[in-house]
Amino acid sequence: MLETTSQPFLVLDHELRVEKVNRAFLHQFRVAERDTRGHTIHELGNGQWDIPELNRLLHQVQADGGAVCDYRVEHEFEQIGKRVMLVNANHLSRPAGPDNLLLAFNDVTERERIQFELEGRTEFAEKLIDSVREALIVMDWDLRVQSANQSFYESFGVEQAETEGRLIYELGNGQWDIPELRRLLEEVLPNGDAFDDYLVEHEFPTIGRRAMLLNGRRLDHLNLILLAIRDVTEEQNAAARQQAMMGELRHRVKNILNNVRALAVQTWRSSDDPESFIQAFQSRIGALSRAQDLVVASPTEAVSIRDIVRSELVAVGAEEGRHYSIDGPDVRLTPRNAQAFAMTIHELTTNAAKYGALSVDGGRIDMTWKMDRRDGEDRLCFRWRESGVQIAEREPKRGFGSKVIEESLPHMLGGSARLKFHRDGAECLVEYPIPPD
Amino acid sequence: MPQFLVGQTILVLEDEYLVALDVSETIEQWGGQVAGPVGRLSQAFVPLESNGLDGAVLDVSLDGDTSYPLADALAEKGIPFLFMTGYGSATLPERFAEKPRLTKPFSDLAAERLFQEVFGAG
Repeated sequence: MLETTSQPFLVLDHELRVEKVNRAFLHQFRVAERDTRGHTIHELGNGQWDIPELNRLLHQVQADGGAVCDYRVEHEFEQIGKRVMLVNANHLSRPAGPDNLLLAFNDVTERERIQFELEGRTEFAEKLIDSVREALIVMDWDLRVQSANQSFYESFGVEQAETEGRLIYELGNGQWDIPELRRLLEEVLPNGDAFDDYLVEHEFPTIGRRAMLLNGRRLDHLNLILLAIRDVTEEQNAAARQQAMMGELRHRVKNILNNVRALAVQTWRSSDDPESFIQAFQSRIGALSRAQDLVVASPTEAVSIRDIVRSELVAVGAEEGRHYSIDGPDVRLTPRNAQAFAMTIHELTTNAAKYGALSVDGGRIDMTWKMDRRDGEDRLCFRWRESGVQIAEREPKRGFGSKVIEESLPHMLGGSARLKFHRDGAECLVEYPIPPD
Repeated sequence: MPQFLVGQTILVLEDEYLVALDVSETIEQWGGQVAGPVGRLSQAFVPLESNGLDGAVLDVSLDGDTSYPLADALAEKGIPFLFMTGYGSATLPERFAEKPRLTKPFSDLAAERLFQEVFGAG
C-alpha cells in the first residue's frame, strides 16, 4: 500500500526508529534505503530530520495517542534545500507491542511559492493601478465595475461605495452612459482585444464638459476589462487658448502696421518739411510704443489711465506736482481703448510742450477724471486743464494733432472730446462709455 | 490727383481712427465726398438710409463686429462697395468671395487702382 502512493511515508516504531519507508520518501529526500531503515528519525541524513518542531510533535502524538493533521513544518534540508511540508501523523495499531507511528509528508513548497508569487502579482497589480495618474476602471465582462483607482474617484468626484459592483452605465446617475463609450465597450472590444486613445467628449453633470482619451484592454485570462481614462480637457483648452492668442497677436501686428502707415501719411500731410515730419512721426511712434509697453506689462492687459498719463508726461520731461497733477479713480482700459487714449494724451502733451503749459515757466496741467453712470452705461469723464499760459486773442491754428484729440476717441469709442482755449490755457473734456468687463 | 470720384458720396466704415482718416482724405483728394467716417457698425446704417450713397469702403472686422450686415444691405440696394482687410482672402464668407478687396496696409497706387475699378465708372 505504501509503495503505490507518490506521497512520502515513514512508519516508525515506538522508539521512533524507521521500520518502513516508501520509495516516494527515498526519492523525495534523496536518501538511500539502507541509511534510513533501522535508524531513528533523528539520525536520518546526518540528522537533517532532527527538527525540534517535529520532535515535539511526535512525542506529543506518542504521549496522548492523538493524531496530527497537516502540521506545517518549514526546514532547511542539506540535500534539497528549504522545504515546506505538511506533516500528518497517526497511530498504527499492531496486534502485539506498542503502536507504530505512520508519518505522511506532503511537500507544499512549490504550491506555497506559486501562491506567494500570485499574491505578490495581485498586490503589484493593485498598487500599480492605484499609483497610475490616469483614471482606471476594472470591469468584468458584464461591464460591472470590480474596482477603480484613486485617480478615477478624484477626477470624476465619485465614491468607491457607489462605484464598485455597479454597471458602468449606472455610475453617478448614469453620467457614464455615453453612446460612444457603449459602442467601444460593446462593439469594438468584443471584436478585438484593445482600443487605444479614443477621444470622447462628454458633458458631465457634476464636473462639466470633459475631453477624454479612452484606452481599453480585454484581460481574457481573468475575464476582465481594463478601461483607462486620460482627461485631456486642460490640454485641449490650452491649445485653444494658444490658437486664440496667436490669432489676436496676428491681428494686433497688422493693426499696428496699419496705424503706422496712416500715421506716416497723416503726419506727412500736416508737416511743412521733412525735418518737422520726422520729428512728429518719431514722437507719435514713441507714443504708440509706450502704450504697447503698458499693455504688455499688465498681466490682464488692462491699462490704468494714470499710467498712460504719466508715461506721456514723463516722456516730455514733465514732473508730477511741479508741472502737472492727476486726480481720479483707478480706471482701467482695454488695449484698444488704451492705445486710443494714449494717442489723445500724446497730442495734448505735444501741444502743451510746444505752445502751452509745458512751454512756459509757471504753467501747469491739472487732470481730473471720474466715472459717471448714465443711461445704464459707465462713462469716463476726463478733464485736462492747462493754466499759467497767455493765449493770444486768436485761437491757435488747429492741425492734425487737434483733429486726433477731438475725433479719435469719439470715432473709436463713441462719446465726445472737446478742445477749448481759455485765456490762461487749453482745456480738453473727454467723455466716453467704458464697456462692462 | 485724378478726380474720378467727383460728385460721389462714399461711406467709410473703419474702426481705427487713423486709418479711417487716411482713407477719407484720400477719397476727398480724388474729388469724392465722404459719409462718415464711422467706426462702428451701428453708426453705418444712418448714412445708408439717407439714400445718398454712391459707394462704400468697409473694414471687415470692427472691434468684435464684422461689417457683413452692412455689406448685405449695400448689395441689396445695388450700391458698389469694397472691403478693406488685414488678412488674406480666406476669411471672407462665401457670398463675398468675389468682392473686390484692399489689403491693409495698402499703397496709394493699389488703392487708386481698386477705387477706380469699383467706383470710377459711376
